[in-house]
Amino acid sequence: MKKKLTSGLAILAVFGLAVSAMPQASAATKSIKIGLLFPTTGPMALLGTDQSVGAEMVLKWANSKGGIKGVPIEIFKGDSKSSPAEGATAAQRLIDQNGVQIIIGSYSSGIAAAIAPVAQRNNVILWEVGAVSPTVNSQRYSNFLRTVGVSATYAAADYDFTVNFLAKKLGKPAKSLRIAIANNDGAFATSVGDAVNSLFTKKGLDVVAKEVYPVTSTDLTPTILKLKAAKPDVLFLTPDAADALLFWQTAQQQNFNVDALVGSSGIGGAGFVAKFGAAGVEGVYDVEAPALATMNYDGLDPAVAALTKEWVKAFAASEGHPCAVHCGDGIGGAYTLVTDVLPRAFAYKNTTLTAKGIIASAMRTNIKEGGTPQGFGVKFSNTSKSTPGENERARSVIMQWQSGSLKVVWPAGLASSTPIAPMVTWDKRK
Amino acid sequence: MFASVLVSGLVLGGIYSLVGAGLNLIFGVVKIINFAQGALLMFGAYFSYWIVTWLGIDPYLTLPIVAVGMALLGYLIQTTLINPVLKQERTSQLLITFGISLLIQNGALALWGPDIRFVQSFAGYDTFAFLGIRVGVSAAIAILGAAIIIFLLFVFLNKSKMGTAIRAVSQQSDSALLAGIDVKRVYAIAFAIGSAMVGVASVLMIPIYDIYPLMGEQFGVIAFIVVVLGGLGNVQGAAIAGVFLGVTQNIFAVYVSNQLSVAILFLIFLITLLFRPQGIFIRKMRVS
Repeated sequence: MKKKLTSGLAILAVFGLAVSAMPQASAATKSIKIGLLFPTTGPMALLGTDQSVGAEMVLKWANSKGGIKGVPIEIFKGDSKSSPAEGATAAQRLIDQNGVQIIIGSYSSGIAAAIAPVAQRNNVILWEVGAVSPTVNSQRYSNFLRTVGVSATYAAADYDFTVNFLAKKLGKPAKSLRIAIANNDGAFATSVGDAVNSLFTKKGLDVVAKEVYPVTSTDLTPTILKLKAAKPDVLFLTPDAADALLFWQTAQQQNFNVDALVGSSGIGGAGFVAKFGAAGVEGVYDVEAPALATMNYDGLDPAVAALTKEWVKAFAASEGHPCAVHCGDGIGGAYTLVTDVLPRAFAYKNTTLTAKGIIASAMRTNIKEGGTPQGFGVKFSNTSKSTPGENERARSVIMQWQSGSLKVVWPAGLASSTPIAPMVTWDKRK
Repeated sequence: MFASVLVSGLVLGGIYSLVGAGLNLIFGVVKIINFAQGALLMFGAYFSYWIVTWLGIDPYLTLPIVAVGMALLGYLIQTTLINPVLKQERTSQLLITFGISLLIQNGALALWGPDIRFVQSFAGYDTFAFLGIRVGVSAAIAILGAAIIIFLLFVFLNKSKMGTAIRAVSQQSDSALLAGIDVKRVYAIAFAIGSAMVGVASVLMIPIYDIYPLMGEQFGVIAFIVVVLGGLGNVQGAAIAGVFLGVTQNIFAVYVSNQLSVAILFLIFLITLLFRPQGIFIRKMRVS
C-alpha cells in the first residue's frame, strides 16, 4: 500500500514538473527571445559574422521602433564555431539557458542540419537565412523556415544566364558551350555543384568536366590541370572562402583561361578582390543572393530601399567592408521575420507568441517581388509540399566583378550594370 | 599533363617536408607529440605578416626575425610548459601541447579576427615555365628554402657538438644524462630549433598560402604523417616522405580520385602504423 502511494506521489510530482515546464500559453509575451547562431569563429567566421551582424542590425532596428507590437526583442548570441556538433550544442544552450523562441542561423548547410532537429525537439523556430542545401530539412521539420533560396535557385540562375546571355554573347548555341563544374566536397558546395550538374545535364547542355576536390586540399593544381585539359568555355565554381583564393591563384599560375567563370561564396567575398586586385578579378561572375551594397534599388519598394541603404551604410561603417551577399542574407531574412511574420504571429493568440503562431503566420506570408532588401519576394511552402518552409520566391542573381566592385548584372530588373563577356585572359590582366 | 602533375607534387611535397622537419626534430628528441605544430605554423605566419605590415618589407626579409622569435617561443614553451610534465603520464604531455594549440589558435582569433590575410613577395604570383610545365616562383623559392634548411639541419645534427648531444638524447636520454648532458636543456634547444624551422616554413609559405587562424591545421596533421613515414628523428627520411606524400597526393588526384586525394595520405599513415611503425626509411638513413 505504502509502495503504491509512493509511486502515485512520484507520478504526480513528475506530472507537476512537466506541467510547470510547459510554455504558458495564456501568459502575455513580455519579450521575444531570439538567438543569433552563426559561425563567428573558425574557418566560416569571415562570412558567418557578416550574416550575424546583418541580422542583428535589423533586430536592433525593430527594437528602436518599439519592438514587435510594443514587445521588445531580447537578442542572444551563440557561436557554432564552424562545426555542426558545436552548433547543435550552442542551440541547446540558447534554448535552455536563454529560453529563446527563435534561432536565426546558420550560414552553413552542415550546421543548419545539426541545429534543425534541436529546434524541432524543443519546439523552437529555426529561421534559416544562410544555408542553401536542400537536404538541410530532409526530415520535413515543421519548425524550419528558410528565407534564402536553396541550391536549385543557384542552378536556375546559372542556367538562365548561360542560355539567355552567355551563349549569345560568346556566339555559340547553348548546347555547344563546353561547361565545366567544380566544387569542394563541403555540404554547401556539393549541393550547388550537384544542382548545377543535374539541371544542365537534364537540359541537354554539354558538361565536359565535373571536378570535386577536398575542402582540406593544400594544392589545387591537379584540379586546375584536369579542368584545363577539358577545355571548357564556361566554368561554374563553388568553393568556400579560403579555397576560392587558392583556386584563383593556381588558375593564374597554370594560365587557365575560360570565357566565363561563374563562382560563388568566396568568389564574391571582400578577400577575393583584396588579394588579386581589381584587374585580377575583373569579369569574374558570382551567383548568389544579391550583394546589397551594389544592387540596383530601383526595383525595391521605396520604403524598403530607404531602409536597405541605411543598413548598408551602417554595416560598412561598423565592419569596415561593404555589405555584400552574406550580410544581405542576414538583413533580408531578419527583415521578413520582424516586419511580416512576427507582428502577425501575435494575432494568433492575442499577445502571446508561440511557435505554432509563428509557423501559422509564416504560412500566410505573401511578400511580392521588391518587398525585401534582397529584392525577391517571400512565400513559404506549406507542409503539403515535399520541402515545407522554403521560400518559393527566393532567387539568386548573377553578379560580376567590374572595376573592383561586385555588381548585379542579371536579371535586368535588379541589375546595376551590364554583364561583360568574354573574360580577359591572364596575360591581359597585368 | 603527367609531367606537370609530377612537378606540382614535388613542389607540394617539398612544402610538406619543410613543415615536417621541425616536428621531426621535436618528436624525435623530446619524444613528445606536439599537437601545437600547426598552430605554431599559423603563429609564425602572423608574426611575419605583422612585420611586413608594420615595416613594409618583403616577407622573405622577415625570415631571420621570425626564425629567432619562434626559437625563443619554442624554448619558452619547452622550459615553462613541457619540461614540468615530462615525468608525468603520457596523457598530460599530450594534453599540454593540445592546450597550447588551442591557446594559440583562439588567441589569434581573438586578437586578429577570422579575416583571411595575405602578403605579396617580390615574386608576386609570377610563374616560370619549362617544357610546358608551370611553377610559381614563390613555390620554387619554398622548395629551395626547404632543401637548404633540411641540409643545414642535417649538418648541424651530425657535425656540431650540440647536434651530437641532441642525437645522444634522442637515442637514450638516461645514458646521455649519465654522460653529463643537460637533457632538459637539450630538450629546450631541440624544441627551439624545431620551432625556428616552423617559423622558416611559415615565412616561405605565406607568399603561397593565405593567413587565417586555422591555416596550420591541415599542415599540422600532414606533418605527423611525414614524421611517422620518414621515421622519428630521421631528417632525410622525413624529407623523402614529404616528397613522396606530395607526389602521391597529386598523382592520385588526377588519375584516381581528386576527392580522395587527401584521404589517401591518411590511408598511407594507417598502413605505415600497422606494418612499419618505425617508419619506412628508418633503417637505411637513421641519424639518431
